[in-house]
Amino acid sequence: MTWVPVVLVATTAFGLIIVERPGFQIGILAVQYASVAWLSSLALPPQVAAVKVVAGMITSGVLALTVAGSRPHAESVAGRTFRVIAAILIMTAAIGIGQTNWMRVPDIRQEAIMAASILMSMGLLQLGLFRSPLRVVIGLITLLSGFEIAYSVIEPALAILALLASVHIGLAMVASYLTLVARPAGPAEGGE
Amino acid sequence: MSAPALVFILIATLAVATLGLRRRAYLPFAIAGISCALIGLFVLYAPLDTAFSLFGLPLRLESTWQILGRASNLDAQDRAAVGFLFLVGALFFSVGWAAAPGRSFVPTGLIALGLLAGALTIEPFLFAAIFLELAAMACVLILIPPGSRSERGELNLLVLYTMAMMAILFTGWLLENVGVTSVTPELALRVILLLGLGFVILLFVPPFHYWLPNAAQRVNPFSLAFVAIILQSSGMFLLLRFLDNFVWMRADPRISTAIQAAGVWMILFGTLLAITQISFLKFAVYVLLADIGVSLLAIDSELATGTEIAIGMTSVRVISLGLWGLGAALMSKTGYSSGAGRKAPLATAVGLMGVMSLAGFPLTAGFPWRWTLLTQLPEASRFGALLMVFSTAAILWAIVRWARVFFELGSAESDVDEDLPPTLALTLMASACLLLGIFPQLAIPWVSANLSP
Repeated sequence: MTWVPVVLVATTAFGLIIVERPGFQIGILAVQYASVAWLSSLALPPQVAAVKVVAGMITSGVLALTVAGSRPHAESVAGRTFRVIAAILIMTAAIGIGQTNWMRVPDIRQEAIMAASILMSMGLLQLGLFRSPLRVVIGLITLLSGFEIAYSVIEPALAILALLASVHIGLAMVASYLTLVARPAGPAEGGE
Repeated sequence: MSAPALVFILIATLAVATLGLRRRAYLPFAIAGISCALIGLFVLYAPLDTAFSLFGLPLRLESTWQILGRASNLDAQDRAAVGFLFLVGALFFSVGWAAAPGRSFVPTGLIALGLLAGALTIEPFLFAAIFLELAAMACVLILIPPGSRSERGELNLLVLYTMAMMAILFTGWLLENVGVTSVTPELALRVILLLGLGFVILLFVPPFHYWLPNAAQRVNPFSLAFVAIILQSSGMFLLLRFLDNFVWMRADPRISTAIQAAGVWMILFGTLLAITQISFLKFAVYVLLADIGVSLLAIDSELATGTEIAIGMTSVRVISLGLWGLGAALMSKTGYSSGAGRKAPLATAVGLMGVMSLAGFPLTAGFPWRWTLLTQLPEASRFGALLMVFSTAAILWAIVRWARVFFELGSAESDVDEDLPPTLALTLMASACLLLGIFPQLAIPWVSANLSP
């Protein structure tokens, strides 16, 4: 049963790379947040892990309102086939790394280290693939969620969880600002 | 009453008030400038943890604020860093209206300063990483004011600071909970590597500087100068705090070697890329990197006054970068093209003077601290001294080249009216730079007494 959230995390991380429609991405992100909270509850009291669900729902809500308000175009910087292949390769590597406690976190469960590896790897892949504020922020959130699964085992303090939750909400607000208030980058000028 | 709580309330109130006044031209800048100066002086000089009387009222200000089970503590070292940050804010807000950095500059600038002050005072220090990340978010909003084009360069700042946050959080746990010291060599190496990753991002060590030149091409130079100085100086203060709090780190030769290597690398990289630039904005960014490299050499110089010199260099960098930012922002209408100096002579001259000060040219504010370092460096650091001299000479050559381009007859995009208020701001900043360069004794004792740990 404890492997169910790992499968969910892997599926959602994969989906965030493949799916292009912003509305669907936010839905997938919300499921990812629930899965991360489930995994965190293996090490934390459920009421503490619930902080992650609440933060995740607020973050997803802010991003959903942003998408509804701006109707951003689906960003596709690489072909879908390329993204599928890249995601499979990175996922395979992450599963390989996740077999061992590579972060050397004491008393961490195998499921947690596997999920952390998958999310961090797929988050980095998203950061490498996409340019739009919304997708970059979703990539950052995925990366951070992976880190937090492992970090909540070693630092279960509520104050840290609350501050990290504020980082998620802050990232969503930055994405919202850049999408709604600032003008998005043109296709020719988006890169460095 | 707690002093950190008082500062927090003041900053929150000011941010809300200036947000309400953001459509006014000068008022939010004036309010924020004066308030930041007062807060900075309060942080530096207010009597803490002792009873005193104000207008007949007995008062006692505590240096610690307990919030959510954590402490925000204004001890002597933190007071210097926080006071410095607010004085930076005072300078940039006071002259900021002349550079037109956007309506959100003042409120988001205040929020960023408040978050960085939180990062420098929070205990345990691992919380600092999260405050730095939140401050980076505010800085993205400063760099991209409403209506501007959002670009990946500014988002890269967020990506890098998220990575730094994760590295520092993990290091904090190893240091505070696991109790890593030099007697646990394997864990000590992990701490050094993770901490190194965090600090190379906070100190803009190449290649983790890449958001800076990208942003320089597109954002208001004054906003970029403000963001660069508050983020980099906070990183520098945090590094010094780490080295002071964990004595084994300062004694570890690997840390010393890493700081020295980073310093040398920054000076070389910054200088070589600066002299090959065809963009004036990127040129200044690379000169800034070389200047930060010299500060790192000062920290690692094994001099008793090394830290003091590094803090002094950070202080004058505020003037130099502010000068460049203001001049470059007012030059923007010329397109930084050939003949720009004939269209906007004062702004161009001041922009160039800012870069000269960053490079440590004699008679500018950046010179005295560099000279102090150069004359005190031990024999073993002769390579570092030669590198500093080479950097200053090479950048000076590049500045002369830029001056020739700007002041030769050419076709800049438009005529620029140098109005009285911007002219006044430029003149005041340039005078301060020259004054501190010609009479360093006016500032050096104050920096040594108040800002050095």
